Amino acid sequence: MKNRLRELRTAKEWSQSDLADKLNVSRQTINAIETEKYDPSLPLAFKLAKLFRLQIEEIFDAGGS
Amino acid sequence: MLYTIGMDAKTRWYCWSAVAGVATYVLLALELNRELHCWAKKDFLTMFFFPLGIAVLVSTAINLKYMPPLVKKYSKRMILGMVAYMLGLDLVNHLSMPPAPYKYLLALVPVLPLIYVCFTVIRYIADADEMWRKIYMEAWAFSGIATGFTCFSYLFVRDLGAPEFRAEWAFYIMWAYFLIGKFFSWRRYR
Repeated sequence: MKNRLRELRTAKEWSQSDLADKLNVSRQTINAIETEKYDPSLPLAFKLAKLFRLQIEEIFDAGGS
Repeated sequence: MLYTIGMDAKTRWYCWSAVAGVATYVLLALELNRELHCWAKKDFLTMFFFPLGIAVLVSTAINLKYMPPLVKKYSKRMILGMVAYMLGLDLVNHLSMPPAPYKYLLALVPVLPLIYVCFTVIRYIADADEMWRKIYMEAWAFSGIATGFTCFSYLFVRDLGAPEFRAEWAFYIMWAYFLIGKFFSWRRYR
């Protein structure tokens, strides 16, 4: 699934580890989501949306999967 | 020893734990061969995997110092369970066996720590980060199915003249398949 996670993260000047700590997941998970090798669960997608104050659809593009 | 000088403390610690693991492995393999004559009997699986299991435990115990909290918590429990299992085995082997049916109950004593180990693995997977949970689930699913089919298929090989299948081989095969499954699953999400 296509997503804007890397773009959003770098805009905040966070490292993958910083974001992983905020979401209580591993850095590898953040990397796998950014490289579109792993689609996050719904709870994690909601956490991401809440953290970036965006709608889920603004981060993830289901049409691009 | 000189190779570790330029390393940071954590990497140096990992290196020494690996050295301790290899030393444990070599010593145990030699001792096992001396006691059970595995090499002469061509029992390579026992000679390879049994010392490997102990070496991994030793190496893991040394590595606890630098492990992330979640991994550390469950690694401690795994080590505890496996040590209790080995002590249970040793106890059963050294006790004079009571008459049946009590001897069968006593033989099950080492199984109790294994139940604890099983629950530890399940809880670790449940508490793991969601991508790692998926990797572990895929690895265990692969391991379970592949072990089942390997053990079953071996019966045909045995009928063609291969050595009799020993129950403990299933345990070694299961872990080997788990590591293979974990590697391929991890590589997919890397």
